[in-house]
Amino acid sequence: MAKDANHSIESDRRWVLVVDLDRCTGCQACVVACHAENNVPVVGEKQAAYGRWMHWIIIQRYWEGEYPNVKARFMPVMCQQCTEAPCEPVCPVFATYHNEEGLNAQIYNRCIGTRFCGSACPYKVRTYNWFRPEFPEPLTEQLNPDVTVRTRGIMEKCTFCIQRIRRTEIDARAEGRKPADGEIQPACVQTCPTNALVFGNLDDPDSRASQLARSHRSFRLLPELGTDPGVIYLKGSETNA
Amino acid sequence: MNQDAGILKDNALRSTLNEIMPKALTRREFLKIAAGATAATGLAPAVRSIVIEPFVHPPEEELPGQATWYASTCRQCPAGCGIIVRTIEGRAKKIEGNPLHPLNRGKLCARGQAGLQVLYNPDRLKNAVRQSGGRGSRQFEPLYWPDALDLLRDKIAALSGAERLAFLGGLMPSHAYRLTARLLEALGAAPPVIYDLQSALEGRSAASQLSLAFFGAPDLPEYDLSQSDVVLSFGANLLETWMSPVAQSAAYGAMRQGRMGRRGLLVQFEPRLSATAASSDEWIPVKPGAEGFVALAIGRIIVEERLGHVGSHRSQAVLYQNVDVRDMSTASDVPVETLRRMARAFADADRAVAIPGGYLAGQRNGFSSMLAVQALNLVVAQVGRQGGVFLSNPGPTAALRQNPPVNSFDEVMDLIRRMKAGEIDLLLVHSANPIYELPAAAGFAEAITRVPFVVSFSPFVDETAIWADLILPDHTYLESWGYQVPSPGADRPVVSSQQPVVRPLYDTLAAADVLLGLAARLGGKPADALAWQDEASYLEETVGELYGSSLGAYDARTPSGFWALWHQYGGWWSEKQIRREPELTDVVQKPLAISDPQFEGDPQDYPFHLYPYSSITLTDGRGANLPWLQEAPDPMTTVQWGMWVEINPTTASALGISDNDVVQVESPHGSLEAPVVIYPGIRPDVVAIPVGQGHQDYGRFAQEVSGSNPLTLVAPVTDPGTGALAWGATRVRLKPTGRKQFLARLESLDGKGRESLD
Amino acid sequence: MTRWLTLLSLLIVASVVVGVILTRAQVFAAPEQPIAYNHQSHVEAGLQCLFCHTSALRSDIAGIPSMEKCMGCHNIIATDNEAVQALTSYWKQSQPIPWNRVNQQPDFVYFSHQAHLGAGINCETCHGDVGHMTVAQPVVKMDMGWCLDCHLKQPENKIARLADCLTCHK
Repeated sequence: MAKDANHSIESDRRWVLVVDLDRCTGCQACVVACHAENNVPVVGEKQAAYGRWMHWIIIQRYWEGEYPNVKARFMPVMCQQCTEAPCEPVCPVFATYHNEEGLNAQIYNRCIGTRFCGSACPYKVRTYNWFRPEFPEPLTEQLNPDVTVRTRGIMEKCTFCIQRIRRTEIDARAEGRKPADGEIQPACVQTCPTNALVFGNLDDPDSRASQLARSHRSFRLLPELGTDPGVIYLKGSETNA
Repeated sequence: MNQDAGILKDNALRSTLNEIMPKALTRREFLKIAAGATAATGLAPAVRSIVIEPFVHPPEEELPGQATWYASTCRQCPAGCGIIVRTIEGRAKKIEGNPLHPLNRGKLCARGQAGLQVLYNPDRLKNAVRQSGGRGSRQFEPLYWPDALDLLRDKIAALSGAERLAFLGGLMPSHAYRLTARLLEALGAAPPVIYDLQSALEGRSAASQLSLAFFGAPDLPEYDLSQSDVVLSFGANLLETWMSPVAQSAAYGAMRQGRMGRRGLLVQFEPRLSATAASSDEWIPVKPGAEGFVALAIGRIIVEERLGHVGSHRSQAVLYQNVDVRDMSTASDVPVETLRRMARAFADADRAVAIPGGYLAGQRNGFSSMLAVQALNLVVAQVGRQGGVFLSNPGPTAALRQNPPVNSFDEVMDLIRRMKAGEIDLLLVHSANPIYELPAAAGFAEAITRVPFVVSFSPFVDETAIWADLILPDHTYLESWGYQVPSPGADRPVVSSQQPVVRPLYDTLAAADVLLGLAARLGGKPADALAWQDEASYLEETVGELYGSSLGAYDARTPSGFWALWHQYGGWWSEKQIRREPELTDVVQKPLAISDPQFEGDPQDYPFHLYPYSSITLTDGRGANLPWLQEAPDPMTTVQWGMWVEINPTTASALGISDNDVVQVESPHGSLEAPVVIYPGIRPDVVAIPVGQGHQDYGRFAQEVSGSNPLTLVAPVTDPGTGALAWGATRVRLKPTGRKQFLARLESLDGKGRESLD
Repeated sequence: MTRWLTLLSLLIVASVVVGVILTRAQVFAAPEQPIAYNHQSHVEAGLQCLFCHTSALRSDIAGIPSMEKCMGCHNIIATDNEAVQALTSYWKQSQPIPWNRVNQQPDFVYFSHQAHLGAGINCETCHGDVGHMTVAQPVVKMDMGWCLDCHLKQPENKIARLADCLTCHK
């Protein structure tokens, strides 16, 4: 499939997530909200110690300096939805591909669990179901019916809450309109207490996400790799003027 | 692999194989069979049978396949944020913040998000039970509710005097407290004693007393962070666990990047770098208990050098009469130059605010420290001004809330004393887990053995319920009615409503309904005092008092219309922002006290200060039975499912300790073992342990974590100024054990001198 | 030996063929229902699909009508009919009728009735001539290929979205 740096002309949406590092306080609200929304399994202490936790979003914490001049910084990292995603070409069954709205898609029932995508990802944001997830009754009642419950052998990652994007689009279309800016909110964006996360359409120059993306504080992770991510970070410790 | 080894050496197996396959297969034969076997998988039936049941009586507001949202109140911490819960066909699927609610405005923290796992927890009690094998036997025999209520009535009737009844509560919703207090008063018994660890760690009762002393009213202050330019936070973990973290976080975000061209500054004064300090511009590691000295020094410098732009500081000079800046600097370990720099920044700011936090309240000089910090707001004339400090404004909701908010630790100790002396025959415990939450040295575990009959309302079998004779499990909060007056409040009067978002899953009963049923059975004064049929009617009548207020954000034409809107909105609040400007008492006309911190334990024997801190995921331990919270990494250490002790790198290397080494931590009152996390952001003379693990009961997710409760180390001493538990006043010593325990960290320890897993 | 193996392989292959035929036949068979509900008689009485399957217009699922809806008419209509009497006995015991599902997609498929009805597709297109069915039965195997057949025949400007995996896979 031929690919260019920009997505197909047909869609006027390119979804991006803006992460304002000056607002993020590392509170983990996004981590838990994501688990709740996307049926992300809990693996228990032993498997978590092996690094087999399943979080789709993690808050990386960096120490700087030495006591007493110590600083710590937080950086939320999730699937960067790269336009030039290294995970896409390596999948032998095309379970992951780039859709025309800028999302890196993961189709669970197609995935056969070779884990090449996880190896190829430079951000290491893909998690793998090493075991069949367990939800002791009645915790099964908490499962979101809008998201597949994955089983063993399937790779998963942040989807920008595609189920919410899809639902809002369908409801808006039923009302004969397009979704308004800010109407679609992935679980992490909706819950973030400091409003550090903003989701929106980069193809709409008036959207809040677009405006923030134009800030002098904006940067992307590992830009030298040429992945062209759909997640835009805003540097901390600087005024926004 | 050695070809002689393996299964074919087993002769019995070999002869069996010979029967099945009498001779070696040719390749062609093998392929035929393999192909056939593969094709045979196509024989599996392609249809499954699935039963779908229609509604018998469809709920009016539901459209199958679409979600219905119900507004309620989160009860995962004392803050009282408004929530909306997404339900699909009677099952709660997702909790979000209520966008209309003035306190949290649609936002919600990690603990609030995990609330579904309280409702659907596999370890909930499903009916009222007696512990038939005796206390601690863990043998439970279910009871019919009418029998359980009769039993409780009999126990109360059999008391020789009402003073022999005691009620210990924790994070009770406002309405439940009111009802309980009413019943106890009608019985002639003592009012409820309220203690919960989270409130103690946040210094709620101390803050209330500070307000009373400084502002003349016990309402908690509300800090207008979003409009501040310089925030000096003294031990206030305002972005993690202190007071109203969601509202404060939202304000923090706005303070940083919500105003064009203007970015507020945050300085954090505390002995351990919390996530709030991580988000600050500067962390100042003050000597434990000396935070008040820093505030005094800053105030003195501003007044003496006439810094700032508010005009004359002459009237404030008396406050700092006895303050010597050099002495304060030495006592607090903060260089004079830093104090000057802080004073200048604070005074020069357009809008500044100083916040006395929970850590201060946990010291034995807490009251005077907090007073010194609050006085700074007076010095820069920010009391009742934008970006400064206001008082929570209950307005018309004042009648609905509990008062006083939280009792002092002294009152808890008094209850324990009475229990030990055999003066209590019947103890009722609601929303509290004192065996876990009180310092072990307070002696509650021993005292409870002297009480002949103990009743717990806990929905889970926790450490205290194990010591109960009768457990009457309350509904979990998503199944409950009620209301909560948030304290601290928002920028306007607000009360948050609560309604069941799903039918109660099990045969549990609302504690308020238990009390009403009990009162009816007792007859006489109790029945008269609690004359409502059920909790919902009690609530409808009580909140109906707000119906007449013209301040509200919505109008209702009838009381029952009000009751409906009350639930649809998620509470009642005033339409407009109404902030309450505090008045000042005469405490501001006297010199501020300089009182030294005191610690339990000789510094020679116990060289380190212990800092037990509330965990952002587990709070004070109540979140330990929720797998989502256990697996959520701690923001600073990234540890999942664990507890640890944080040690400064220099201290660790002097002791020959590295990451994951298990050390014994010993105080004059107890000892525990914990794995080490080398923590750059902590004073060399301080060690910190998160509260929350070390559960012996409370369900599988809490119990399977190997860990200890740091409250076993804490000395049961108080701040004489407030009567609050001085949980930060204990000294400890460390001893390496030579063992290791690998913590489930998110981060790798590669490059930190050792591999994370060997 | 070889002959024995050949016969075995042929037997297996034959079983597979028969099995496939039988299971495909099963797909098109109407599942047995606890009450022999007759769509044809109701449609002839003038009922539209959306009268009972109300949520199809605004929700992902079409839904099964509640017992209350059935009893709305059958309190007085056709009370001598055996099926109606079975219905009434469920109603009197406040028991929902355990219908057996006729059309089902796997958990990893997202299907929205609302989106399809909104696009102007009517019920018969996918569900067949239900108005002439007695017990409801599937008329076509609703597999991905079948869905795509229609999706790919849509106007040019919609195909990109309709052929996108994420549109139907959750």
